[in-house]
Amino acid sequence: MPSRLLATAPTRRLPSALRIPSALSVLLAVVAGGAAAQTNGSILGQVTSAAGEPLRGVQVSVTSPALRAVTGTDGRFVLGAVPAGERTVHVEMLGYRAVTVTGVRVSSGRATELKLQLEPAPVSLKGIEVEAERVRLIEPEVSTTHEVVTGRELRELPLDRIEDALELATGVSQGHFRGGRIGQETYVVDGLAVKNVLEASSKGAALEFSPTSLDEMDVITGGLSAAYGSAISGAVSYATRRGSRERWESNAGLRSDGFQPKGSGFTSLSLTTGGPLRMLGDGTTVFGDLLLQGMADADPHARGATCLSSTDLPTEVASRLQLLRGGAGASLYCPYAPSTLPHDAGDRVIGFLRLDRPLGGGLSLTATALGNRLQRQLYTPELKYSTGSQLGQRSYGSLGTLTLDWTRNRGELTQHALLRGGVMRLDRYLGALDPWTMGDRPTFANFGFGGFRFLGEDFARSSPEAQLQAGTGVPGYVPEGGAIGSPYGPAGQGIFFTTGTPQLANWTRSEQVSADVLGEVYTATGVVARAGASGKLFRIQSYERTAAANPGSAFNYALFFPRTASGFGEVQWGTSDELHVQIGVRLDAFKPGLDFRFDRANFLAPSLQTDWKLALMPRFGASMPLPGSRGRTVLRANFTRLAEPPDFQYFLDTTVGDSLRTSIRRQGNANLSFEHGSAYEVGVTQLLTPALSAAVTVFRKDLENLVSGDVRFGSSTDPTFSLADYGTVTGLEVAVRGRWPGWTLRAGYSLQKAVGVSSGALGDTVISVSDSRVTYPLSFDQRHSIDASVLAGRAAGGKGRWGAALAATARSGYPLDRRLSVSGARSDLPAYLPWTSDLTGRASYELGSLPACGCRWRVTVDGRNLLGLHNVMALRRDSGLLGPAADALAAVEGGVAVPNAPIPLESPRYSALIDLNKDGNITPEEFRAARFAAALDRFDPSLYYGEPLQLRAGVEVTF
Amino acid sequence: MRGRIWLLLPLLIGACRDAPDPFTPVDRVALTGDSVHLTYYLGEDRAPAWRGNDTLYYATGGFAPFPPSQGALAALPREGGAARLVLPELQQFTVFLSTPVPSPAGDRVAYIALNPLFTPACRGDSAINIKNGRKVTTALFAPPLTGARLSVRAANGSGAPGDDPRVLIDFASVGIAPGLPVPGVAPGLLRYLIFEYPFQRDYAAGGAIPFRPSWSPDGSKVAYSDGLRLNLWTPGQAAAVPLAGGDRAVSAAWSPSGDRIAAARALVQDSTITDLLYLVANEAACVERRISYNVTSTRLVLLPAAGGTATDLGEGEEPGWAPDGSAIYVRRASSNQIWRVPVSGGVATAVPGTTGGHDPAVSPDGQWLAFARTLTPGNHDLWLVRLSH
Repeated sequence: MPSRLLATAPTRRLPSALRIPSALSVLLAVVAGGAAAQTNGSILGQVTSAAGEPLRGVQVSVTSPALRAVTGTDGRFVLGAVPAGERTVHVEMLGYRAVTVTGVRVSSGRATELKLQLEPAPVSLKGIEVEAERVRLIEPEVSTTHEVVTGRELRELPLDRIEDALELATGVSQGHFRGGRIGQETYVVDGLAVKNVLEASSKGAALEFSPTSLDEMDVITGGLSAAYGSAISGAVSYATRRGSRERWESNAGLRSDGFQPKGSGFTSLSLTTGGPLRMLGDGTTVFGDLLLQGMADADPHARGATCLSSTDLPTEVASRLQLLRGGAGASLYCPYAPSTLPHDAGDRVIGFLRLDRPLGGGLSLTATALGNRLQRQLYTPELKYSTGSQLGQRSYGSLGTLTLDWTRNRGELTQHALLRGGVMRLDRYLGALDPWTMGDRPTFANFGFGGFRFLGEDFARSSPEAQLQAGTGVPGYVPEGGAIGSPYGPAGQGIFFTTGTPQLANWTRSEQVSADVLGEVYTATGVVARAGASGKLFRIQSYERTAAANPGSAFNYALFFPRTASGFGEVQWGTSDELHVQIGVRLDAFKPGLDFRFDRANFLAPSLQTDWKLALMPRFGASMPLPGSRGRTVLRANFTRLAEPPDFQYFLDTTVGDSLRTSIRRQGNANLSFEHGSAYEVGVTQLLTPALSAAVTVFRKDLENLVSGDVRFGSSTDPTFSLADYGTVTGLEVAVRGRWPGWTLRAGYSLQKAVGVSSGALGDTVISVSDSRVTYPLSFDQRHSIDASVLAGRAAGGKGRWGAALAATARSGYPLDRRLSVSGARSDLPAYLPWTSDLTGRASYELGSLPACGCRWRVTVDGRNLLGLHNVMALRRDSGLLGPAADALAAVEGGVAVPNAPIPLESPRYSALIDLNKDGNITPEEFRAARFAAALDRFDPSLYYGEPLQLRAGVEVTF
Repeated sequence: MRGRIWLLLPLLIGACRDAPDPFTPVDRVALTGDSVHLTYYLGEDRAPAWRGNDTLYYATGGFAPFPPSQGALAALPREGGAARLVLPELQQFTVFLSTPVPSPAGDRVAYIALNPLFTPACRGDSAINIKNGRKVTTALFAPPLTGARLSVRAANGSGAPGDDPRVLIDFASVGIAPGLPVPGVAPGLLRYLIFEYPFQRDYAAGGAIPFRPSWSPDGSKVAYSDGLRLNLWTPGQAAAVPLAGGDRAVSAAWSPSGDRIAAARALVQDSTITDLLYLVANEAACVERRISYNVTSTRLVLLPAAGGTATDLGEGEEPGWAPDGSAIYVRRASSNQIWRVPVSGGVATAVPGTTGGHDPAVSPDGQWLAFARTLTPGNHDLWLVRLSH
């Protein structure tokens, strides 16, 4: 008689292929709803006999890493500090048939519950194997709102970057978490916060991971546990992969659209390997991941303005465009083919290495190293025709951690503690690219083996004293001017600044050393107590010069040493069958480490030393099955107080604005305190069918003390960063999850209403302090967003040869102009941008074994924007359209006088493109037509579009 | 399975493909063929002169982006393309420059700078011929030249322009003659006396070709016409020396061998006098007397470089030598075409493709004939034709 695993909850999955007796099943549940700033979870449960009697002394273990527990008198056990991901659980006891449960999903900071029955087996029988469900439809013990993207999904979905997967979480849209500003979320890697403290709001996440290097990504949008700090809107927790203890497993993947003549020149090579490293001791494992991507066009959005249709332009401009299109000037309409448009070349390197070594006595040591190099040209309309004079950005990121982890499993109690040290460095340079980068840099498949070089980088990084003493501009920078290289030839002179270099030189370097300690206790009854503390020391440097070619131009340079410290404690109790409660409190503190002068206009004003800023944040969450619903309906609610230090860039003077053209200045304010807010949410999850569930969540988020740029101090003429903005976001979210044999579904819908008093610290509008404090819609006001992903066949864990993964997102547009939408001053403008949507997908086919290699291989076809939609991402505020308003166009058009006399062919200003009748002379009428076309091109809205349809072929080899 | 592996080849090859070439605007079409239209300026492009085999110097107007000018010195590649100013430091202001001619070594440029035209001449709402009382279209009478300067300057523009060697050319008999009696006209009106020599008319028809300088092959001297005779000038000397036998010759062209100078000589009839009365608001305002010479034909003449008797080679003007000295290319007004005239006395032949041509200039390698072609009055363009031997 076989062993039995009792089913007591509706969420389970037993693949028929395993031919497990029908009575055999496994219950998986997640207890301990709060997330912790770590990537370990726990497995707890109870083992009983066939008669329902608790079995004592049953051995329960997992591998990779090796963890073991023994059931207590009531048959209960807990395995704490189990790394997130899919684990295999072995259950064995003399006299009973052993059971192996594969695919047990362990999530960060949560407990997975197993309830097992063992069948007596007087003689030794082969153990049985069952597979646990991989997609949980209902989580009765989770009070947070989160979305777990599993390692399998990360590997099967056609993701260029890990950020693409964020968009599949309900409530996250284009990097905004529940209507928050970009950067109001935090990123946690294996429990270590790696937020870009200097410039998260403008540059986003600090570090990138390869999708194949992760076991799990957990996106939390509501109900953050006390373990998460420096976040107002959400958190993303990455759990990195570790090598298998049993065998080496490797994978190599190549994807490219190079087979298409008009592809975007994308090639990606991924290498992953991991396995036991016994030379360093038994149980030692290593895992390595390398991702190389080369891109001929890293931002394939370009379309020229002169390719606009008449409906994209104001009426008076459209009529002129019609003349251009239909008359002799047709050659000026879309004068270049898409394949010849300038490309923003770039490449990406992401390398990750992890070493795990058990030390005995429950101790283990983990060392990780991550390295990033991300670089690309930055498209600017003024310089798009100058292949030797481009703006570019290069970012280096590195992270190293060393973790000493101690775990003791004592049957019904697990104690866990860790001590971790980390170092992180981010280095970003933004400036004019050295022509070597554009021409002579060795590249292969659009991947550059060397880093970008920038004009005068050594000079820009030299000491401020040396730069002042030199009294020159940044070497290599050339003032603006000239016109050679435009599609309109030299006759476009004055519009295209193609003989000068970009004028910006900007770099930042952020270094941090951190140490944190965590202690936690798990009990088999589902009680978790956890406390931790961390401290970080930073060294921040920032340099900015906006008129870099000008010998007399000033520059901003800052070197300062911020510090942060935090501590938290929380307790969770309850199991899947009853009320589950999570209570915690967190204390965060930071010190800017930068002096400031309150009155910037007065040199004699006293300089003040900034103090420590403190934020105390209580957090509470609860969930429970609805009585009488037999676990099919789950209620949850939570309240969290949230705070984060403002981006350290706000401590400094900053030039912000419209693609660096408007040079809007904001004066730094080192005395800024925490941005903070409160979030409330309630939700209900309903199991609709055994294969489908739906969750509805409503939330409210009060944002306070947000960084603003609108307040002026003293007699200063420039706005100074302050904490004057505030607002409220209320929202509704619906999430659907489904699983059927051979495929899975995840879908979500979100609607937010977001209003507040906001000037936008990085926006290009300035509200005077004397203005009335009017409530404006925030960026995400009335934002609808829809996401869905479907995995089928082998991609969903099936056994066939075919696999497919589809991901779709759709979203309504932002408010076009916050102020105008309130005042109603421009009723002719649309209030909101149009909807955008895209569909990506991958089809894969397993081809079996490769000859003479023992490897398995498969081919894939990826498609991005499969429907080929022309998504419009932005509109001009002056016209409400893609094209500029007539007066803005006329201002540019009139920038160069129309010559009185014809321009003959032998003139350096002659261009055959403008000589519409090809008579060897450009008449004033022909010149005017060209000026119109050139001015349209000057307002190039290329980046207003979403990415076009792209198809990629790929091959993967696993060995 | 092996066959499936081959399916990966396109992927691997495609993946290795590097970035496409960046955007390159094509805003000029290459000028090719045996007959090339080089310039399109709607004013005058005249006096092409070769500097080596690859560059043509010529006189033009100040089209954009050059400074506005009646006469500018320019150069452009034989293959066509963008022109550039020659000696741009001289052309920052409105100066009427013409006929740039590089020295045989290419290190110097001789050119003519024309003085301002005689713009104080009579003006009015209308004019009548005093003799017959008929109304006259004053536009027929262009303002005359009064003087010019022949200069030589280093081709690289070195040195102060004021230090450049120069020689002045004075066109006599243009000016105010208050004592000139005109029957029937009150003596109080201003009077102007203008001799319309043939060169004045040539100038009015399109340029300073009559005064075009020509370098001796060794680069030591320059031959030029002041409109009335040929002169030889050694740059650096204050004055030129008239060439014996060079009376009434214009458009000098020094032979490649250096022993002869070709020129054009106009055959004229007796002069005629025309007195014009200019009216302003029907009131007599000014009297102008023009003395004109009617040209019957223009002859190509060949003079010894040391001076002497001229040899008549038949009809021809604006001569240009073949580089081997065997022939002279000239314009013949009677056929409105460029002809090749053998120096040794053979039969002259018309050069195909040169209808309307002026100012012939053969490249040093003898491959190309550059010339100015008239399209409409006041509009000459430069052309090239490939010479067949």
